[in-house]
Amino acid sequence: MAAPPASNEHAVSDPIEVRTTQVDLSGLMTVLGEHLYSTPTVAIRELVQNAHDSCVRRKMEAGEGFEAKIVVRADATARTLTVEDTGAGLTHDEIVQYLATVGAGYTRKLREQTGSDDLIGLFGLGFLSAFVIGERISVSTTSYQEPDRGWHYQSKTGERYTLEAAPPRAVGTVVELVLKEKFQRLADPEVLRGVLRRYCAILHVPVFAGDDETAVNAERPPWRDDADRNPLRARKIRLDFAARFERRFSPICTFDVPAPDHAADVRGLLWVQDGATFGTSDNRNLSVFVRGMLLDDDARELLPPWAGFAGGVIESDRLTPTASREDLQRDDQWAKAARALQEALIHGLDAVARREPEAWRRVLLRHNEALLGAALCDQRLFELLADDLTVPTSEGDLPVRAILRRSDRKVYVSLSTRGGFEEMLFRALKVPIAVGTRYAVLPFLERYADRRGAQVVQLGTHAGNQQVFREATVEPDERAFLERALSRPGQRLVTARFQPVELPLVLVPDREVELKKRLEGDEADKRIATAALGLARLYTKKVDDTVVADLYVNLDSPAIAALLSARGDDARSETGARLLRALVALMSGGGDGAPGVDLSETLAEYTAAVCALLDARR
Amino acid sequence: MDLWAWVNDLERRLRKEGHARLADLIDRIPTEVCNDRHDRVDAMVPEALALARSLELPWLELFLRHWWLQSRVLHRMDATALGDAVGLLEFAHRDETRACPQSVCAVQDLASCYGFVDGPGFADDRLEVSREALARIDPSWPCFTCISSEQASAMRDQGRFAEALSFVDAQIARLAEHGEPDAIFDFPRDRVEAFIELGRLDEALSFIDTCERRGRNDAHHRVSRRLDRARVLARLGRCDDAKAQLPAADEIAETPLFYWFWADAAAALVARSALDNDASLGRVLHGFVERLARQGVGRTTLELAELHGRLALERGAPHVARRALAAMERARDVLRRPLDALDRIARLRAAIDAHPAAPVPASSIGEVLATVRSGGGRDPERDLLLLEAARARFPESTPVLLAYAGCAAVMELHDEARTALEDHHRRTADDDVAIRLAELSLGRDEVAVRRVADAHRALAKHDASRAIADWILARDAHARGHFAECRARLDRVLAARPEAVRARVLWADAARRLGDLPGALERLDEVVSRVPEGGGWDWDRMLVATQLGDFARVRDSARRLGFELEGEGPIDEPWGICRVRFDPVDAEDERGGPLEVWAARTGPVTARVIEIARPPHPLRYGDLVAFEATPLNAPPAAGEDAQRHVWVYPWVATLRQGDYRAFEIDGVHPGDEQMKALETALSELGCELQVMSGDEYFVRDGVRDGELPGVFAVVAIPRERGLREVHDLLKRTTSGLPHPLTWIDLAREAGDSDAAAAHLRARDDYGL
Repeated sequence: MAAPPASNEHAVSDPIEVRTTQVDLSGLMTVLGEHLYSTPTVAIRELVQNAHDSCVRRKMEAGEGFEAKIVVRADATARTLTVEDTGAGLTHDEIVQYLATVGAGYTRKLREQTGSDDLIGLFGLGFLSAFVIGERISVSTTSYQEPDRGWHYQSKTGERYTLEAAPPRAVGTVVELVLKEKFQRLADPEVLRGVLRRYCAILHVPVFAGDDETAVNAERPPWRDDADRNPLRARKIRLDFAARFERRFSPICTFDVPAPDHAADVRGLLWVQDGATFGTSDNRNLSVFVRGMLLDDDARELLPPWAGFAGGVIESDRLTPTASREDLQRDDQWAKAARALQEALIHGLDAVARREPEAWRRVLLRHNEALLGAALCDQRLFELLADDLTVPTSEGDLPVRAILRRSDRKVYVSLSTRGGFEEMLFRALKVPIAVGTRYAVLPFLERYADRRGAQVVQLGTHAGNQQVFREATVEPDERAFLERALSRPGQRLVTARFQPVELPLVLVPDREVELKKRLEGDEADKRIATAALGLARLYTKKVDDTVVADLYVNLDSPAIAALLSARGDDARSETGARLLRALVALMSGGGDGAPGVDLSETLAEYTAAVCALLDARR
Repeated sequence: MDLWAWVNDLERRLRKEGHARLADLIDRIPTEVCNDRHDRVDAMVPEALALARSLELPWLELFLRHWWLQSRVLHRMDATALGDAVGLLEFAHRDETRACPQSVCAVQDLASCYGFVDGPGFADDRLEVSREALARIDPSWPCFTCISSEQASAMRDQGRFAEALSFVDAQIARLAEHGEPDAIFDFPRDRVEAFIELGRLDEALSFIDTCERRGRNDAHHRVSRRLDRARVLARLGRCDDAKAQLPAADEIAETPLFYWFWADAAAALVARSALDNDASLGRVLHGFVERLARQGVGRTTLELAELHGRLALERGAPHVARRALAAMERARDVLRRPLDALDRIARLRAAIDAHPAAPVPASSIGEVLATVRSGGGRDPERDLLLLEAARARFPESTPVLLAYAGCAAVMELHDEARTALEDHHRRTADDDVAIRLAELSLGRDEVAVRRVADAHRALAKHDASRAIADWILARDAHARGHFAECRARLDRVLAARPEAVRARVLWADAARRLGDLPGALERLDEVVSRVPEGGGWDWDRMLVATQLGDFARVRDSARRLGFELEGEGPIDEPWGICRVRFDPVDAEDERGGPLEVWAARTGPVTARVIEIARPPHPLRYGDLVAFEATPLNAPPAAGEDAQRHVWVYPWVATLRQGDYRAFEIDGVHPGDEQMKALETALSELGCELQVMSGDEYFVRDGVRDGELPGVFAVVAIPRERGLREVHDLLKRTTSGLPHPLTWIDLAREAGDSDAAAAHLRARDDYGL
């Protein structure tokens, strides 16, 4: 073990020394207090961490023969906070060299020398944080190296300090802060206990709040519990532990990190939340402990973005804090940790699906939508989830298999937000139509169809229409007859066969023609710059605008068959044709906006047809 | 106006108004685009668009549609998005959107889209559009950078590399004057391309390194830098470094923008013998060309196909080069101005023609197929060459054609495989070819299947062959779950081909699914009487016969399959443990319980459930179930312990219900002897006790501090057994124990509320 430089150069000839810290601190304090740390409680964490590192140092340098322990006390009336440890203590020179020199912590040096991962400190800024919340700081210490000497350090600002010999105390250090008035609430024992519970939950050295008999970190985190307990019990312990960290929801099930058989420098516990908030799907939360100390309780970015339902606690000695020690550096280790968490989630979900059916059911029930997205991000998840998830349809949420069973191994998807012909068709088809405008639905269905052999039909697209309305040919004279009887100017008649047979015709507007009209009109010249418009018109020039809508005629429909059979009888066929034309117009949104359709003309035709029918009966 | 300030404001406002979901999507979509996670973009955009439209937020709609095009056009190079780009331009200039700072970006989307169709062919138009747009805005607009970049790209497409570089640098200077000192990092593509083309490789490298430190750090830019580094390093002859940088082809599969850069780097490495020019490289490049062609990309497809063809020729695969040539010709038709395209095509054609002729194919069909088989598919390019030659020599051979179609499918030449099959089918009306053709679409594309069936019916020369059309349609109906239709079609098949075995087997399967078990069994009996060897149909027969209680037939089929089932009547063999999986859709009423349960296999297709479900889940304990003998899980992998492998079978029917009720027992472990006694006592009442906990289950000591070994068990009680009787038995057997065992629900349902209350107290004391 390397020992700190033991110099007696500053032998204690003067009873009191007055020295100056080796840096101008006035600006630094402001930076620390107002910018570096987001909350004053971080100062407490820093002091506990110093105490912890001191205990580790003593163990490393002087062996195990002492009880490592940290006690933090608050006194509301005196407005003081003390942090006492049984660690290595400090010699006179160490106080001068490390405690009072900014950025020169002994811990970092020790870690560099020994490669130990047990030490927390890194930046040598920890002690200074005391001045952020304290108006007077005193330190009483006795080093294990000189157990018969004591030192007393005092300072108000950190800039100037006094250092005097004091009667020896038990080996270790006690730091006392008289809190600034605005941080008075930190002297409330309850507040203090809460802070310690949060920050020190998994610290190795026991930390006591005041005279508590039990350390705030008495309960070991489940992943450090090596005993292979009964699965039921292990599950319960983990759920309890998770519940301590998950503030908004209770956990449904937990997963160990790393996943079994996965090597990683990160350990911990993830869980799935039993609940979701309205409106947002991202409730990820992750507390990261580095070397036993809570560093970041909002490290959600380490969890995969698809896991909006996951929470977790992890510890790692490889993640590097930023200088504020409230965030993590996005380095290679960070990326590795993120991967380890992703693997743990995937394996964990798989294990729950196999072994905890009731929990799995709840996971599916709560997070179906998020899991649809997750299934797209990882093939293993897709295989796991494909048959258990449901998609929103016109008939409620259904598993894809149920949809396929109803509709000939096809899934009809609508991307339309408004009515349109698709909506009418859905109702007529009597099969569930998937709602493609909901999160992840369309790509999920496409992947499902690709892997499991099915077909996705996107209603309202050219390809989709071809699938729905299977074109079929008729004799040229029949076609000519149908065109005369049924289509209106601008409508192209397409003979086809489709379900349901009760639907004789469907009018599908051509959206490209609508676009062409808008871009080629004079109005566009006024709005859109010349060259850009030119480029756009290159495209619309190719759009055939003589046809504004396709009129699909269903050859399987008895009505169309009847019309064809009435071909020789002009009066009969004209009556039928009028009714059919009116039907098209009325189904296409009452005529308004439907291309080639005039509402009043339609109603007149309809009336005439009804009259003709009734006259014929008479 | 600051675009992102508006976006952030909007996000905040939406959150405040309760539209947190939409706010999240606005936040995430651009991030996912920049990280090349386009599947997520596609997952989110439709929802975000629907929400934006329903809230009538046209600016937001514009924003979302623009970012979708960024993903589809700028990253995925999907030129078929042209119509959408035109639509967005129109939308961006309406009254309600013109003032939106994102409206100018629609111009870039459209110009880039044309750039991907034919960069040089549309270069003039793109230049004009960019100049026009730049004249309207200053460097404070976010699109100043993008439009400048578009202009530089158009200049490069005209071969004006030096000019493009100075233009970009001038724009960077303008941005700097405007307070954007780091603008240089917004033009990595423009500067790197110019440097490479101008041969200033060291500058390229040092610029990429600077970007690595200070440029954008999203996944798209990181991968982009690796590709650029690989291209530059390969050109500098630092091949090992270049290879270390080059991502695997499948890493960039979803970002077609990178295809050309990857191919460029690979070609440079091949030229320096640092990368194998082999069939697998050919397959990657073929995939690239196909995808770009499908996406309406002209110029890049042409150039990539040319590279692909050249490399194929170099490795002695003129047949692959010929396909590349065909791809070039198709791409040429997309171009607006062919420019040098015709020369390039002519050059590749000449090189192919000059290539030595293909090897003389083997002398017989058997020899060809044996040669291909002996290769084990390791070199599909060679196989394809052999089979092509063989097809030329034996044009009417169906086995050669089928082997060729299989090989073409491996090489992802799906259209070619289909065309060859169709051609052959048109000429020969071969039954096997028709079936193979239909198999390409079974259960996926009803229209295609029907087309094959119709064609076959028209071409077939006799009834037996015409029946193949019905066979195809029957299989399609089966795949789509239309079992009645399937059976009707198979009737026709069997009328024409009375000896058909597979049609009978399928008929039986359809009948079984329709609930016609006797019909199914009859057909399977017919099969068995016709085929002396045991087969899959015997398993089907055992399943149906079991459901019908016809155990003689079960034994008969078992014998045919080579195992003997002793005795007669119901079969109850100790065949080990398996798991049975219930179908959540088939077993609609079963939803809510575990889908997979442990069971003891009692015969070829039967098992008894031995897992007691924890209340309140439906209890299947004791149920006798029939399952399909084809397992759902894979066999144990090599190295896996076969002894520990457990097969999972799909449930078909519950033959007899166990009819039990289950209750939990929890508490301090009374010792093995006591437990044994309890178990025995319970079994005398016909109850089954299952301990679920192990040695490591501890409960709190209710008396002193500390922990005690615990036990958690479930007891299944026959429905006809009175609960009070079991409760009293438990009470008697456990009365002398120092610590209690608890069965709260059982006590309650047995009507002993005092005991239930005591158990509740114990639960709290012992932390159960």
